[in-house]
Amino acid sequence: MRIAGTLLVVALLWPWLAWAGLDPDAKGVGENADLWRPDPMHEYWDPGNLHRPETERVKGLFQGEACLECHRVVTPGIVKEWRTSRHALTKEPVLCPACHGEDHQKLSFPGPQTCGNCHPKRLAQMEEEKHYGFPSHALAMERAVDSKHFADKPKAEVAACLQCHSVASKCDSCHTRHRFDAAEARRPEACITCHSGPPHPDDEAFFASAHGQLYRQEGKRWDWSKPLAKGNYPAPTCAYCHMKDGNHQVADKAVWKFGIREINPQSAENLIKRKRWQVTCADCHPPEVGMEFFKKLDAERTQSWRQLYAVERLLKNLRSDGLLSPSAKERPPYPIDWLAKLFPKERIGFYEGQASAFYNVSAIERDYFELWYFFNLGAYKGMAHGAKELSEQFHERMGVQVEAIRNEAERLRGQTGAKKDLKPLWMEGDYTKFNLDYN
Amino acid sequence: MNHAIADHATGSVPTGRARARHRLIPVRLMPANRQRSQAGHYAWWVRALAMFAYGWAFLGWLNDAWLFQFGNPLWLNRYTEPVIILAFGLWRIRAEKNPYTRKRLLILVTNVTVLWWLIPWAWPFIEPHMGYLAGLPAFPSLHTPGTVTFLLVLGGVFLFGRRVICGWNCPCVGIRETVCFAFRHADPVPRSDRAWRLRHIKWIGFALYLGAIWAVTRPANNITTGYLGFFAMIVVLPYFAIMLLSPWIGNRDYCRFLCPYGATFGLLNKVGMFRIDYDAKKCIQCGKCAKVCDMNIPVWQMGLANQGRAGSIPPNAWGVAAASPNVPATAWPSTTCATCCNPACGRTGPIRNVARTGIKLPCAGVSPAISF
Repeated sequence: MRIAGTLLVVALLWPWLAWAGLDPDAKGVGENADLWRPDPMHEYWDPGNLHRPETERVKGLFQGEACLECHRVVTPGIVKEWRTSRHALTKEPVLCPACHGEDHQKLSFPGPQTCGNCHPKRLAQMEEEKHYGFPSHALAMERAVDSKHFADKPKAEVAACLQCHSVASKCDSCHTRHRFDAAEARRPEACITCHSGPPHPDDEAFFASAHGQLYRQEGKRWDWSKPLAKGNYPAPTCAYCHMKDGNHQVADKAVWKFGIREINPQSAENLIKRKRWQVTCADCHPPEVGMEFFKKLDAERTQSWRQLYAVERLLKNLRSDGLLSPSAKERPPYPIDWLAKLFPKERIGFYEGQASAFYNVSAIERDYFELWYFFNLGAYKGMAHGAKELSEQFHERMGVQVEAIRNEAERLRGQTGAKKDLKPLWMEGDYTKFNLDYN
Repeated sequence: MNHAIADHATGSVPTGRARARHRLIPVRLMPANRQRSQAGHYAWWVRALAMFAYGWAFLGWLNDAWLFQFGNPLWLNRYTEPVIILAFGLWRIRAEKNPYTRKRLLILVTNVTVLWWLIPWAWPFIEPHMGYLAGLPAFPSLHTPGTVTFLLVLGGVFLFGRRVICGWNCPCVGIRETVCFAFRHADPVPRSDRAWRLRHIKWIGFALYLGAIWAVTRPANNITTGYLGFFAMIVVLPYFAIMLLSPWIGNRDYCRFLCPYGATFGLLNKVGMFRIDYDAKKCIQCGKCAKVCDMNIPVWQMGLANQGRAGSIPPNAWGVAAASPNVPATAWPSTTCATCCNPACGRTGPIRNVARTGIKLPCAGVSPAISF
């Protein structure tokens, strides 16, 4: 009886409960806006551009207490969260309309600009990050939606991109709603939501380091309400070093640019950034420890790049001998890449743009991509976060992969005449057409 | 009696041993057209050394930006160029006999050494900047639109004329005046109507550079970062490459034909507080000013045109004056002039850099094709 009653209520209220959500004709955003259509979830990832308030269910203007009247029943979780937040506990509570607006038909999802109304310093710091180029939190959204593969790849394969790249368009990536807790964002878990996985195993690196070990053992007892300043924490977490004193400009010490291309650690710009690192490390370590650490990191990077360039040369030689199969002429380019259509060419290495051409390539190119993007970045992340053993593990993997690529290259060279076709990933046809039409 | 002065007195050109001694013993105050330290007078090994030093300076930049070898030491990084400029600059200052050119070299080499090497080397810092540069501009970001240095230079050119940078402060000119001096030919500057018209090529570079200014106002994305990279290549590669042609197409080949910054300064010169003035009373119609101008500006002809005087336009007048005898005074000099002025006719020369507005600026009195 009870179940039937519930079902009846649901059936009757169904149109009322249904989220009006995204306009079915909504266009994408960014450089390739015409070529992809956002999913309903995208209004959460990029609310500034894609959120459409529902206009069907409730009409009228509501002040704070009135919102709570209904929402403590309709959405009790967020009300409970909000009640424990500083927004609720101050003398003059920051009520719902402050961020969402009063008019129920024009409600908004707050973005950084909304939060910046009261936290202008933090917003300014985040905006300032745009001055530093990539990689960047503040530019992450454009970076994702503007890349060719975002518009070209099958929808299902790019569904998860914006989940992390939305760090640019909303603050609750790190300070989850509706508590928006600074202490939460000071803990490494806040960063690890995104900074994990093959191209940036920051979590593995941090937990393998002495800093991370200390955090694991003792973190539960630390007072996370303290600001990220000298003397407040026995060991640093991500935010301590990368967001010193709560600085929301996270790129001001970014020397290595994720390790995907070789950089000059001694360039004028990078020497200045290094000095900033030295100051940060000196919160706990004597200055020469930091210097010694930089030297080791430099040496590790030099060695890795020597190895990577050797493989890059090997692949380029295969390319000039026409041994990559399927070749660029045989496989479809990105549908929207007109240049690649006119001049099909296998892209190898960072400077030819391989980072954005990592799928639908021959097996050996993909092997190189994994060597470079996954194992190399792991080796770098390990070394940069003080996890030497982890770095060595990744170096071992690099060695194995290099060996495998060499063997494969020799095999390809051995096949005179009849080129044995490696299994092509996908070819121009129904599949690519489908992607083009349904993204 | 000093050998060289004797040479001057008798008007003979020293040969053999005497000539060799000239190279070793500088002779002060020898007239510009008589000194041995003239372009095109150097032995093959001096030229080879200059070429080698130039290549080394280029390699320094290449190592800083691309090769990353040897841990970026001073002998192979971005500061290698000013170090080499200083070394060759000392030699050039010592060898140069014309007091005006000497003074200019001294200022040029000092500026390059102090501003573009010693300060950023000893006290590296990031410049405040406008726009989105997709990287941090470490001082001096002279050529990066939106940085403080860049804007100060624009403001300086507006207020004090182009000498705040071109000819007196620009590292690109610095290396040409010192290191590359030896491998110039005596007068490699193409002086023809056609060469004069070719100066308009620089407006292509200028258009690209306006594009760069637009790009830095947008947050970095594929288009803007791609464009800025392209623009950097368009500026840097021809700059280093065209230098190798300087023995044949002139010391200021890049400045004349391609430099997008020079083009901007030229426009500022048109509206700025200074202009180049020509004092007809002092002119003795020798035409040397036009003959020595590295930028191939028909100085004398334009001066005459501006004074509205009926001068006899010589057969090698490269067009402008003859074509437009009523060029308004404010239109002169052309956007090409870098106000470096090779000394042509001594201290009493008729070409001067004067304040246009009548407002007395602190440097108006000393200004100058100054005191040449």
